[in-house]
Amino acid sequence: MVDIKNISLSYKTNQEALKDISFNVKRGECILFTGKSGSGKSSIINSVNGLAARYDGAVIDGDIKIADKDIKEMELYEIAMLVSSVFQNPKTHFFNINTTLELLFYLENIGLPKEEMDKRLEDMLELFPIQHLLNRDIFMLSGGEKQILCVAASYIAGTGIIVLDEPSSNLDNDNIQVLNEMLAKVKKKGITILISEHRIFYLMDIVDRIFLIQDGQIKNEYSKEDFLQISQRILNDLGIRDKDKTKLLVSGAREKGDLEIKNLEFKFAATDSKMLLKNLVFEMGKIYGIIGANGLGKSTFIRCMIGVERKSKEEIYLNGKKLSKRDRIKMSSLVMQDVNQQLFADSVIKEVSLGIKDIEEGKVKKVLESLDLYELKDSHPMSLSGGQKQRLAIASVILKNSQLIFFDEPTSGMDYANMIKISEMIKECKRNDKIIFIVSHDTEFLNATVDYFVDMKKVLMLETDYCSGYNKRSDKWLNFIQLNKDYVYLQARFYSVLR
Amino acid sequence: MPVFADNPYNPNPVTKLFATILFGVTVLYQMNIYFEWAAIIILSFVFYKNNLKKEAVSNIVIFGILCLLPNIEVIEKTNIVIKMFLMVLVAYRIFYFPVASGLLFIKTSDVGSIISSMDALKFPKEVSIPIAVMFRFFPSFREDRQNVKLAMKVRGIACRNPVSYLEYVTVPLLIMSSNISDDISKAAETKCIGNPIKKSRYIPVRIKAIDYIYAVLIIAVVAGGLIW
Repeated sequence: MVDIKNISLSYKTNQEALKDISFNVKRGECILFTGKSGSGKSSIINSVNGLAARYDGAVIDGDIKIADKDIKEMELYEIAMLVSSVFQNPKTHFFNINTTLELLFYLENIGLPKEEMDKRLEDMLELFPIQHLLNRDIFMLSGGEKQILCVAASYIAGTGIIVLDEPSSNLDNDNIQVLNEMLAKVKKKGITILISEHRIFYLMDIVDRIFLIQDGQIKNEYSKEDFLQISQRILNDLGIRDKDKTKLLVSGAREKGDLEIKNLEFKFAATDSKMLLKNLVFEMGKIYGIIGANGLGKSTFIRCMIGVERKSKEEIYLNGKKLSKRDRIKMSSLVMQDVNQQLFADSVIKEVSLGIKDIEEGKVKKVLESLDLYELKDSHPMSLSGGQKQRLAIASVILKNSQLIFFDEPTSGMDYANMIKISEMIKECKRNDKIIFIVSHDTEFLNATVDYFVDMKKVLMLETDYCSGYNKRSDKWLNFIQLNKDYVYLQARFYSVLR
Repeated sequence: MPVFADNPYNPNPVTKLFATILFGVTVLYQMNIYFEWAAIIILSFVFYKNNLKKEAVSNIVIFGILCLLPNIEVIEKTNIVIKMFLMVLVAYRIFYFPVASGLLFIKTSDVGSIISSMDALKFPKEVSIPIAVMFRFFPSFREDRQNVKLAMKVRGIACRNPVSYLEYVTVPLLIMSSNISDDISKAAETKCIGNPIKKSRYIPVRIKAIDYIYAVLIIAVVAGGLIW
């Protein structure tokens, strides 16, 4: 089905991303490409779907054959008729705003008659009961729902191959389970799956072969059985996350502390539902993990805490003193998921000093040196690599010396080594006069980093419209998961949530 | 089976684009106030029937407030700050109709129907696809811009110095714009948008009664407003 022979791929920067890669994939197989960030996993996926050569300016040598057709000479739309793609970040990889039209968009572009479109839609809905996602505004969906729609759209296209580039990066554990369920069903239909991932635990019951990619080469090829024999320590050294589902080992937040949320209310404009939190306390000198499903309001909670949500109402006290929104903005720092959105100055040194009065030069130097950024002090922040940008955002936080520090999904799409690096950096920010809040779905990272966790699902007041809305949504997932009797344990988990 | 339902009160994108261009004439020549209100009522009705109730009401309220603006002679006699503020509102009043009609176009048109309509009018693909991408670009851009604003607020970057404020905001917005357009184009290309065959549409784009009614009413109010 897919026949790759001696491909080498290099980008404009002349750096060789893939070196002499050869493999073939049979119809209906599920292949996993795993390895450290930058090892070349995504380049393999983008070579197969044609985006590397046509979008990223890559030069490819060697043969790529799909269904016996050499795709190097083919137009992108011709390749798209053979291969469907699911991307890492579902946020921007939609073309329509209405969910149903997005599902049908591919079928319209290949000129399918309406009756055939209805048939495909019906067939897809039989396989994935996602009726509740139809005819909705894509911008109103949670990250998990968007990714589920992406997989459904790739199935409805009817191609024999689906390629997925780190599809679980932005998903919570429940949505990862749904993704596992969907991929298993796709595989049963005889569709070939090529997937690149760091988080591999959810693929262990689907995958047939695993390719370990290192420095642009296939370092090893494993059968599932052989791969399962490899110790976790060796896998972690290779940059790969746990192959078993990690349990959260941190305890829940204690009921004493210096920062108290007596009341926090926020009304969601789009859904008319309300987020309500009462009597939560946090201790100085601790790191708190904020967990909960996609779309539950974790990022909104952060914005309310910082004081940038105009429409929220809060009563927040620090050591008995009530903090206004303005007080909280002054005492807060934030590292966003996409750090590109928070780098403003034209040099690294100006960036870290931005918005801070009377900053000491010596301190700036020390912080930049400790994060390996001093050599780059005159570089433009946007010219740095992803990891360097993230370290720069953390350097700004350290220098601002804020009492409340917030991190929003700092490790999404990160391999094991980089995740541990970020964890160490955050722990170094820990001081007795600070509280650090981290919103994350990454259980391995939370276990390595936080002192306590706050489960948004539990602390949201149950009588609010918001929670009842959330539970209604859980019902839909329940119906979905009930269809597969293999996942009885998941039902039990959901029922316990509903109770 | 739930499917995307067509709305009989939603005109064809071409009709809406035509209305927007026609309203552009009102920037150069002011319409009679009665005809202006007639246009506002028509726009609000179409907003309302397309389930955009908030826009339907705000269209009337905002235009009502803009109608209360004093004339230029009165504004000239006010102090500089009030004058600047009122002049911004006057500019908004001048551009109000094309803006409101454009808003209706954006809020009630989907990408597929825009491409189909342009195909029907034999627009080249080089024109129709960028217009369709543009439609999809702005909602994503709005979302990211809000994040940039949030980051600036937390970093303590205020707009006291407009020049440096613009400099700070421009770089992340440019990078984001480039990433968004790349991602959208990839999404479109991997969904065969470049396929040269005649595309089918789940909801065929056709000329409905509302197109004739809407076009005739808009021509009537604009022409009437300019003549009287």
